[in-house]
Amino acid sequence: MKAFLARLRGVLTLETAAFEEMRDARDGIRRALLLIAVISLIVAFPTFVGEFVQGWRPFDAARARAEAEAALQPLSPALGPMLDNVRAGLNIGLEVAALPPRLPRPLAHTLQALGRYLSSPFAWVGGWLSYLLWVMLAAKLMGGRGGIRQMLATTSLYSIPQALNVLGFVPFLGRALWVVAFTWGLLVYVKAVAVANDFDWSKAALATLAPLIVLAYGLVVVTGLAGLWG
Amino acid sequence: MKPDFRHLATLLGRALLLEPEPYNELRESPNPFVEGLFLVVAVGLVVAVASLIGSILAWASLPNMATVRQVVYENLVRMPWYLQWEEQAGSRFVQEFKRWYDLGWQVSPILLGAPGNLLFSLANLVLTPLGLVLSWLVYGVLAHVVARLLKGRATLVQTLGCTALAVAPQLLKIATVLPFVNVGVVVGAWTLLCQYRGLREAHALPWGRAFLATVLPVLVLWLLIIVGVAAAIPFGLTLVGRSQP
Repeated sequence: MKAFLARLRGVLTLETAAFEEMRDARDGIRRALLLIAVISLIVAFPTFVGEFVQGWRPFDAARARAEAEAALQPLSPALGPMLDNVRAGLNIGLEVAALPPRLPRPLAHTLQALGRYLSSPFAWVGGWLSYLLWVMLAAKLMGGRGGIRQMLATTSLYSIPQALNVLGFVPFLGRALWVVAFTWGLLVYVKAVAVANDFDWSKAALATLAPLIVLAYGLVVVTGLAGLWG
Repeated sequence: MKPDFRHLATLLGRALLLEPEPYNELRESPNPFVEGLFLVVAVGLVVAVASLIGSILAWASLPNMATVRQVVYENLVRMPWYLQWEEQAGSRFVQEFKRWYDLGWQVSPILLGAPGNLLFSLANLVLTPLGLVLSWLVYGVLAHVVARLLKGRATLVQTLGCTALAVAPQLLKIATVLPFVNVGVVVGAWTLLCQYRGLREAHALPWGRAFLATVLPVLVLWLLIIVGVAAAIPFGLTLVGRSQP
């Protein structure tokens, strides 16, 4: 436990040794997947508890309608003549939600909440991997030395600061913590790319942001071309 | 020969973690194609059974879909935009709307894999392994051609053996034994990594060529799918138009 906490502190304070240890671990990919899965489950836990508890209460159509109306209220001026259609659409949702499932409602809702909860590790790993594939390509094209194992292992450490999002449900504080977690995670990610590829900070930052830069450039080009043709 | 399921599971697990040894083992095996085929079919069956159980549980956790369809329709036809169109276009609009609504309910649950269609889930017991085998063969052959053009060294059966291990990420779909679990894009992205590892080990290619050998067949397949769909849409619409009175 002591060693684990020391490693955790090392990652959060961007100590090179902590990243190198992960980079050189033979079971780095296994550890990476486990780390992201555990943190995603921690972060999604409050939502799961909320949905679980709600599932055991009988469906209160009047309360759900009042909540939906309250959420709609600030949007009313923007929606204008569409408001009646949106309201009718909400009605569809409420009537469908009120229909009884084949299983007893609490059991059915528990299964739904559990399914959504257990989907979170897949969503996190999917998002991490989809972005990482492009970063790996950028790093390789920039002369990086890191292989798949090294990149997967080190960049997974970005997820540690994301654990702060477990308090995401707290008003105001949740948003502030999200900004902190995102920024901290980004720094960890850049450090991870640097250690995995033997890059300096600027090169690692460029490799990390390269997919976004290419995407933004592509959007500008497409928008420009659309403007020309339009 | 009796299949060793424990060894098979270990092989797939290690392939999933991108270790080079399982890929090398399959490349050097006496018959990589047969072993690969067995792997793909076995994984397909396991995933299909898990998905079937998940579908049954999801079906039980949802309201009757026929009732949902009715409730949605009854509400749609009371919406302001509908009434406005009905007033302007008359009975022709009402008939066309109902026709497209019914067609949508027939097609979209299948396309979106919505639970409730147990017959479709049962058919997946055959369709999933079959689909995996077909995609493995098509991808494997294309990747082999590209890899050989890039000076790869493996034979076709060795390429197929190694790319068969890229079926390992499909095992993540076992999680769908629990209803409403969505594995999302992780399977596709991880499969790409396994294919890269497989082609690199099979053909002893440097990273750049292994990357091209991995990605080019995917691009070719996507292009073919897009062209096929674009060609099929007008044909399908014509058929739908003809089938209606």
